[in-house]
This record gives sequence, C-alpha cells and structure tokens, in this order.
Amino acid sequence: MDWQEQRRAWERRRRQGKPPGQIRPSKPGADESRRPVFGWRVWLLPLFFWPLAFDVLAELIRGGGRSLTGALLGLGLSWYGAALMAQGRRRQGAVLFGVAAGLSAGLAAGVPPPIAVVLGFGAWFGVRLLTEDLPEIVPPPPPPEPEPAAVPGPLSASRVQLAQITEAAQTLPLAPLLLEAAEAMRGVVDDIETRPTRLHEARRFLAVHLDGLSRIVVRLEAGAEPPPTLPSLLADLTQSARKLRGELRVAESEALDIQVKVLAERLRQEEP
Amino acid sequence: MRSSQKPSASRFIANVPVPLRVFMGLGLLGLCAWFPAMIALFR
Repeated sequence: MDWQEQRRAWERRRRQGKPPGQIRPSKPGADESRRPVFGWRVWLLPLFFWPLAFDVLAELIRGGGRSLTGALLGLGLSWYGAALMAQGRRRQGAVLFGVAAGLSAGLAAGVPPPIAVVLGFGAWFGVRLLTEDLPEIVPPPPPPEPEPAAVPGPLSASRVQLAQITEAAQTLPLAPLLLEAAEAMRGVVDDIETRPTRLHEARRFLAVHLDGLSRIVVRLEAGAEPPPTLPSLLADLTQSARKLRGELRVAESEALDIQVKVLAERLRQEEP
Repeated sequence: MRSSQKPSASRFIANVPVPLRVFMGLGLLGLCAWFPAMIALFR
C-alpha cells in the first residue's frame, strides 16, 4: 500500500465518521474499500529514522557512498515495513524495521557489526511491542489452480456418436441391424484405441461410415421411412467394419512377424 | 491460537502491561533506530 492509497483510505474512514486508528481488518475476499489501514500508529514508526533523511543530503554533499547506502536502505526499508504493517502484515513489517535499523547503524553510523545486529533486534522488538495489539492479517492463500479439463482423445467423439446411435436405435425400425452395425464399429474403435498408431488407417472409416450411420439414425428418429436398400447397406457397413478389424489385425500380425524375424536375425548375428 | 501455542516473543509481550509496553517500545526504537541515525547524521 503506498502513501496515496493510505491517504485515500483515511479520507474514506473520515467520511464514514471513524478515526483511522479504529479500523479493523476486513474479511478475506472483501472489496478494496474495506482493506485494513492501521493509521498513524503504523506510519509514525518510520519517523524514528528522520535523521537519516538529513544524513542522505549530508552524504550526497560529502560523497560518502557507504553511509549514503546505509541511510537510503534504512529509510526505504522502514517505509516499506510500515506499508506492510498497514496491510496487516505486522510481523513482516517489524522484521523489516529491524533490518532497516541494523543496516543503517552498521553502514551509515559506522557501528561495529555485532552491535548493529543487536540494535536491529532491539528495533524489531520495539516495533513488536508497539504493534502487538494490532491484528495480524495473513493474506488469504491464492485460489487453487483449476484442474485442467480432460483433453478429449481423438476417439472420444466417435464413442459419443456410438453411444447416441445405440441409445436411439432401440426403438427404431431395423433396430437389430442398426445395433449390429454399431457394435461392429465399436469393435473398430476399441481396436484403434489399443493401437493408436493405426488411427490414420481408420480415420476415413470413422469419418464416413460412422458419420453416415449416425445420420441414418437421426433421419429414422425424425420419422423417415426406411428405404428398401437400407438393410443391405447396414449389412455392408457391418461387414466393412469387421473387414477393417481383420485388416488391422493382419497389419499387426505382419508387424509382429517382421519384428520376430529381425530379432531372430540379430540374435543369430550376435552368436559366436 | 492459544497463548501456550504462541511464539515466545508474543507470549512475553502479551504478559507486559500496555503502558510498559508502549514505554519499552518507544525506548527501544529510540535507542536502536533514532540514536544510530543521529550518530550517522553527526559523525
């Protein structure tokens, strides 16, 4: 929270008739206008470092790099710590105050490092004492990332089509033939699912035959009278699906045969 | 969080009366933040 935001929050609170010190934390998920602001009690704490502001000017004129760095770090970290405390993260803010005090003492004031560390702890404890009654607000954890939606496989659309055909065919004329054709096509889809490398061979079948059967079922559902050639067409579709399954099996068998021959040949070559 | 589960610093601070807490806090900040800053300014 920057200074402008803090001022806006004070203005808001004044309009509501409440002093800034009485502001209490909002529930997680509340809107921006209800964000916690701990007013002057928090923003007065960096003023303990006011000599460093003049020291920055002095070091700029004097040209002391180390002291200038220490003074700037002390001012910046203390201001950032106050901003954190204004958001309700007072423990982190107190730690930053301690770091600011230690660094400014060690670098700007030239205090020996062990004493600078002790001074840092002292400043941290002082801030904790002054801010202990302010409520600590832990920022709500980020919402869990949505689970990636299941990626539909290349055959999921075919399975949906087959399920629709099977469901609709129960009450249609020529139901046994329709179901037989759908069952044969389901066999093809099952076969391809176990051998995804053969998908390209069956793509035309899925696109033309399965789509055609689906359209036929839709027409019959709409009340169309089945033409006399439909039973033979359905028988042809069933036959074609079985033939494709056979071809897939033959192709697999040939591939296995080649693999066996290659492996046997290699074994023979490796034998002494 | 029950008081027995609090970190030791919080447990200690919770037992300090508020006026003493403010006095100690201001004193520590004056000693550990303001005083070194004054040393830095005037050295």
